[in-house]
Amino acid sequence: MSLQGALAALLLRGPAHGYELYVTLEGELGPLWVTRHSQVYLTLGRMQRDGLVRVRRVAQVGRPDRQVRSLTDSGRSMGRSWLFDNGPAEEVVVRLAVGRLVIRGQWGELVETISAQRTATLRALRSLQQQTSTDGFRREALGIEIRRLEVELRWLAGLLDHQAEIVGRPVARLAPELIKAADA
Amino acid sequence: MLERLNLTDATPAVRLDNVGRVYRGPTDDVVALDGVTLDLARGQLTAITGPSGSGKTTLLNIIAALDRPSHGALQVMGIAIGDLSERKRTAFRARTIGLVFQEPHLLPGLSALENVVVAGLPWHPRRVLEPEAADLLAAVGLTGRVAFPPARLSAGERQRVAVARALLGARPLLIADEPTGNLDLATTEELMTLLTELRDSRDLTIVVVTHDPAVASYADRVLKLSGGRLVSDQRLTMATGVELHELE
Repeated sequence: MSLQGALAALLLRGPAHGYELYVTLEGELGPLWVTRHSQVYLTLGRMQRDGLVRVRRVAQVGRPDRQVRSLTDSGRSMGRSWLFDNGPAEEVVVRLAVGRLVIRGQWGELVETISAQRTATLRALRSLQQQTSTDGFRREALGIEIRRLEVELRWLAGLLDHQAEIVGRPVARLAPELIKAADA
Repeated sequence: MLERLNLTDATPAVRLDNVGRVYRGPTDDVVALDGVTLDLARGQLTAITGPSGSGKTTLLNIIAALDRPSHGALQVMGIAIGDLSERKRTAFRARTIGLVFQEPHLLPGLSALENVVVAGLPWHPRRVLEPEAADLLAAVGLTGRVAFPPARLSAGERQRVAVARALLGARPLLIADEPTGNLDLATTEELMTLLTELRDSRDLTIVVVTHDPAVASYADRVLKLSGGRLVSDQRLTMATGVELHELE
């Protein structure tokens, strides 16, 4: 999964420090999409090196400086592309979760875009299934992917039906036991 | 006299120009369809989607010549059917448009073959219709089931009989209202695959109303209605280079 894409998209909301980004991802998606605290910092470091984010140090009393990250122009472009461009199947849920927070007014458009992308994949798989020989396990492998995509399309249509309620929900708060685990 | 179909390559199967349908109520009018303009190309499968009350079935009924628009112009297979008398519209529909519904509505006392034949009986003798009905049942994959009554057929097979019945008389336009609504996932897949095969082999124009995006994904084009208006018109594409999983 592209943690870099997800972090760039989350920063479209505005500057944030690493811990805030980690807590948001875990709160919105955990425990199904688990992110390691250290991995978030490592990825943000790489993004800084690659010119996608810039860092501002904010002094704290009795604690080390807090590093607040914001997007550069290329980082902003990357965040938006990650949300709207076609990507791996396993990123669909994360794109929608992050999109809910950063582009509330365009979330329906994001769902429609992903739906069109998944429909194009489904049509390609159906075409492959018709051309595939009955040798081996290919037909069955394609069959289950087709079913998964059909279920996914129905799920995406359901999201659109409940769009206002989903977008209107507040940002999830991370459960206290998970915060402790992260701090440990 | 029957209207003669006047088709050139460029003639769309269906042409709607600012078509609207208003139902007059005792106190308020209900606008079911609000100024829809579109062309449906021949030989394509079009899906009409949208939430309940969006105007899907109203649009379908108008295209199927089952209802008349309150305003606007409508052509089906090059004929301005809004201008036809009721008798001519009925004859036009019988010759041009096949209908399939969620329920196949087969006659229980008749065989699959007789259920197909019965659709053409007022216009043609049985001996003329039977060979065509048998061919159509073969085309929908029911060669060995022609003598079976509906009770001996599965839900999917009954719906295939309904498709064969709708195509009797080489009707070029097939209109289906939630045809997979009562079918399970596997049977839905089979029926939609059959419809795409029929589209290709018979150059059939198919219009399907569905609430199911998986069914709509078989279409060449998806129209979405909301509040009686056309809000989206999407031509479906196919992804290239599909590779879902990488073995590492």
